[in-house]
Amino acid sequence: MDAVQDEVFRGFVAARGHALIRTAYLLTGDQHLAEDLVQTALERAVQHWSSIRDVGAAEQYVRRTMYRENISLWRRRRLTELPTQVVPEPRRERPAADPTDRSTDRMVLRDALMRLGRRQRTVLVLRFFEDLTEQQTADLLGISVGTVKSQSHKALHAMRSACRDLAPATGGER
Amino acid sequence: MSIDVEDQVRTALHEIADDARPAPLMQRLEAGRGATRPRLLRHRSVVGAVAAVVAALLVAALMSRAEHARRIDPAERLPKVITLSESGTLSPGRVLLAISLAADSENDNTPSYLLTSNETEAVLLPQTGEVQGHWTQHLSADGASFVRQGWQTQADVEIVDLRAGSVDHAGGARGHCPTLSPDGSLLVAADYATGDVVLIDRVSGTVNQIAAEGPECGYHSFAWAPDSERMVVRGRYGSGLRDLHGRLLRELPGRLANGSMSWSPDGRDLLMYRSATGGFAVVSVADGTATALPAPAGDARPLGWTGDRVVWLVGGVGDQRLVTTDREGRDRQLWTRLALGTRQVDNITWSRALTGRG
Repeated sequence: MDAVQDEVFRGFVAARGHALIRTAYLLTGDQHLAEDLVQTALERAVQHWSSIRDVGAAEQYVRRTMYRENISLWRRRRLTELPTQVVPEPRRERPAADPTDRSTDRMVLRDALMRLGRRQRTVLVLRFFEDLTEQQTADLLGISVGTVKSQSHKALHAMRSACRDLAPATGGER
Repeated sequence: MSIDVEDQVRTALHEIADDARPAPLMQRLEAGRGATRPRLLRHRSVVGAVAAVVAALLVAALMSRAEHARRIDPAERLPKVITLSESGTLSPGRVLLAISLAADSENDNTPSYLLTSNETEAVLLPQTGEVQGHWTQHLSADGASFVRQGWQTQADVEIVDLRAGSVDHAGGARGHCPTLSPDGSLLVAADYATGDVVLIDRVSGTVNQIAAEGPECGYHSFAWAPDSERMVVRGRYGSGLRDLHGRLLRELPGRLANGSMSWSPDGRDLLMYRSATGGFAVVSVADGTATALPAPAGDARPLGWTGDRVVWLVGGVGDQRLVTTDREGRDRQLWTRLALGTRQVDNITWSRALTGRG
């Protein structure tokens, strides 16, 4: 990497680093793991930087690497976590609005999100945080659209089971 | 699974992401270079696989983009990520989109960056030195001009020709919210002192008063119809559809979401904010009926249209992006990410190459 490329890379990290950390944080549920994941993806990007045509392509490359690395890490370390479909102690109905509800909601949903398997969590992040279509998600992860649909359905079901305040099903499947 | 659940999950994801803290990534990378080999090299077999996957993904992405192009009909597409350049020069291609940033704390400067077709970097539009700071600014529908208005009470207007680099002051016109018609021949603006709405013919130079809203109407905004024959004028007492003579054709509920960008390319609908309900709506130009437009999660505001889809600006500082939804606020899809660092978008306008038919 020459001086100009190095400068562009630094600018890219400065401009987009936090956005990448945010996504990685959702994928891993942990600040340090998120930083590790982004670092790994950036290290790969550095090695291919001369062949990356622009900063936009670089971000796509780094994000793809993050998503796939996150799943492969899970495969290598799958014994370290035991995802479940349902949180053991679902939240109870609350009688009335409470000022602390919002932070409580966040904690419950975060807990539910972290209990998902990495693939389901990644699908959820791609579909509902990154706003990718089912087809785009499938292409990115190298899985079928049907798998994206089923993983997404199961993940949303688990999230809803974890938090009763999430609206019951009222519409058709997407 | 219901869409309501999806929206709640979407909101939750954005809120959880807000808990992530900025990290000294460059320091970590530099430390990592000296200490240990990158993890990738510890898994050389993975390298080849990733390379193959990346190649496959590139093909898949191209196919996906082609599919996306079938769903909407603008002539151009945006890159996945848009970055900013302070020093770049505008390429010869046509300007697709203008990003205007919020004023920084040191001065009232609100810089605008222009993105041309086939580029991923938006280039800073230099100040002319004549109009300082900008109250409103927008890209023309044909992408050939950029209209700016200074901060002053009796505001100067300048129309920058993006191809020739020349500046037109619209015959010395001063006015608020100067808005260029889609065909580029007319400029509508408001006189802050009198509240008069004036129409300036850029060819003949004639200035006609077409409406009077009373003094101190500093909150005007205008939205030209795609046919340049009608406009919506928002004044003190509400919004109204008017013809070129200022005749009121229809009163409309609420205020415009984003000037002329509020008009759907087919000229049938307007994006509006309704104070009465505190939400956004798609308003039919034909009969004034409003259909609620639920905002997608992520601190969203609607900016305009691409094809028959609504474009929203979502996300906070460091993670702003444009997403599109259908007219019911559903089927959210990423349009582009905005790599702005710590800076924040004030407004984004785009040409009809991205808007589509009309």
